[in-house]
Amino acid sequence: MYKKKPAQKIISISHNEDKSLIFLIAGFLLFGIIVIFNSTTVQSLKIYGDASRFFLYHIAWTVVGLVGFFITYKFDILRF
Amino acid sequence: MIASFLPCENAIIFARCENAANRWFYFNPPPFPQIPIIGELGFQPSELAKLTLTIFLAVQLSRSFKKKYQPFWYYLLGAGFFSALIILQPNMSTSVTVFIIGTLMYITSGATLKPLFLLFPIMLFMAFLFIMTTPYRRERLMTFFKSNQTTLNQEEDYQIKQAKIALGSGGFFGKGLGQSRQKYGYTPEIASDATFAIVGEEFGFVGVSVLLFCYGLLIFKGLTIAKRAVSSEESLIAVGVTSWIGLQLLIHVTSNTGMIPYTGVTLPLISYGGSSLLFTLMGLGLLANIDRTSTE
Repeated sequence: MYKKKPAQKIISISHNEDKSLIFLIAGFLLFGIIVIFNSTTVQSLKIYGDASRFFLYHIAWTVVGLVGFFITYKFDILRF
Repeated sequence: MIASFLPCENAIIFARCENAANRWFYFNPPPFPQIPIIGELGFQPSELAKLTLTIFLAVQLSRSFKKKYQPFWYYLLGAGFFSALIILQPNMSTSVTVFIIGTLMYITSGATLKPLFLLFPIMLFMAFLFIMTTPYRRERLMTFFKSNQTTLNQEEDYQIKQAKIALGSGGFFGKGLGQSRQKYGYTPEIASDATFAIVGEEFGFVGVSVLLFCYGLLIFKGLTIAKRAVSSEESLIAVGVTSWIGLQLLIHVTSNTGMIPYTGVTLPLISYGGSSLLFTLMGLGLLANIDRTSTE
């Protein structure tokens, strides 16, 4: 069985937080927004008569997603 | 959540049937008032299931057990329960994804692997039976195996062909941003199920290679976090989230390139799909949290 590491092993390694994961996620989200804006205008105009409908919807969900990201990033949900 | 898993005949207004599938739960279906810009607010419970399963298995599999096969029953309970509910929607690709995420977490937990050797043939047989007894799935599988034959009816593999046309027409450097032809209605569900094909069409082989390299970095980072995590619980969560991203990427790319039967799985963080984006970001938030706490 996978054994838990002893508490004394939990030591400070570095105070410089590695932001590479955050930057990587931000890059994907930005690229996603560009791709969605670019690829949905025609369909959006055809279905809703508004070229930016899908794009705005995607932006709204990205904001909601970032709130979700912030919650799981900042709070230790495993303790709840 | 359970309501959205009801079969079409028993669907309720909050989880109505669309395209013979019951995959969405709506908070404000008609006659309830619509939200400006968004309209109806809904999400796919199967996306929430990925996050829930990851946390559930991480907590359960990191415990100490007195009996040897106890972790296996927890794995089977979690992965089996969610997979069974999702396959009832029906949504086979997500069901398989959820089951594999659970299996990878079980394997990395260090529990005994013996029961898996018995479970896998049974699961494969059940999956085969499920495909062969569902007409549209059987047709999709047949289309996949016949896709190289010139006598094939074009309607049967329209989506795969359009995705391949998009990727092929992109060439080495692509047509350029905004120059896609497929977005003019040739490819259905272009922003969710065929995102990779569109990226290939506009940015070419070079763009697609850069994108896959970035995903590779993300997966590598996830596995590094799993290795460095201070507890087995956190390590398993990191494995779960990383395999979730990796599996979705694998299914989306292989589906768009015609290597597996065409299926509607989103490209993580890029495709259009609200609930997919929300729960993927929540999962990545957990990963970033583990990364932060393990370096403090």
